[in-house]
Amino acid sequence: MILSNVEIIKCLNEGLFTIDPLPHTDPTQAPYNTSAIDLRLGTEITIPVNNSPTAIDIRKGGIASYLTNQSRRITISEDQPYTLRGGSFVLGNTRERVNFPIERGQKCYSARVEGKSSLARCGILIHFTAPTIHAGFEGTITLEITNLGPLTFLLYPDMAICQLIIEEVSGCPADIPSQFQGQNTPAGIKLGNTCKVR
Amino acid sequence: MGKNVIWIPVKIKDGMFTNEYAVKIELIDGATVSIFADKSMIQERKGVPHLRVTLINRATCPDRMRVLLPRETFETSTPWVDVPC
Repeated sequence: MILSNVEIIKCLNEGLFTIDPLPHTDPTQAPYNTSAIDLRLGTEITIPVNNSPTAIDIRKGGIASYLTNQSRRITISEDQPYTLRGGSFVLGNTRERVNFPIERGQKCYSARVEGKSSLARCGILIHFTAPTIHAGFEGTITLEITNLGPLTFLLYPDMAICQLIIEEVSGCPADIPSQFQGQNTPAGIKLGNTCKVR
Repeated sequence: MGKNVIWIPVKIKDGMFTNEYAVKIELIDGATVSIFADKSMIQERKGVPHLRVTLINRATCPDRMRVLLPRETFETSTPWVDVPC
């Protein structure tokens, strides 16, 4: 079930998830909408570039480093916004860090990041195909920003760039099945804590 | 994440944003997968970077354990991986 603005604030106050920084907890003012909370654009824009003649092959390891090498990062400011031309694609991230912890025995939550209708009217997408913020996620949210419109659009830091729709997850998504708890062998013989994490 | 949080050794490089690392993880079968992870998810232990993950099942220790990564990997499109204990 989607949380209302009032329920979002209640959960934040109870520490069930966090959105940081949070300007205030008045549900009748921005960044709250009736069933979502707006997030702001951070100060970094990453621009994909084509430095390599090779295609992306996700079957090979190290794709994260490969993508980093095929990109250029800039910092935007009030004086120097990023000019997003029609048809171009960049990555941004939210100013806010979110944390949707998975705690055994506690309710947990996930979210979807969605665009804002005001930006959509200008042809701006802030994500495509990957809106889900899974339970257990912690960090800033990466935005895949595309300008589908014919007009150039300026990206400023702290502009309301997206909205977060939060839902409760039924059950614990990363719980160990009870029949395996405390077991260290496939046969289920309890040997004690022999599993060392390096 | 309480008791289920463990740290596994990884290799890191700079990510696409300053608040993240490009993280390479070696799986039990020798394959490597990669993700971008927030810097708060990385901790150096005895000179080796470690990634914070959620332990799901260590029933097959001392060989392997199944963990939940902070996000799905590029190479396997899943956050569930088996890594060495």
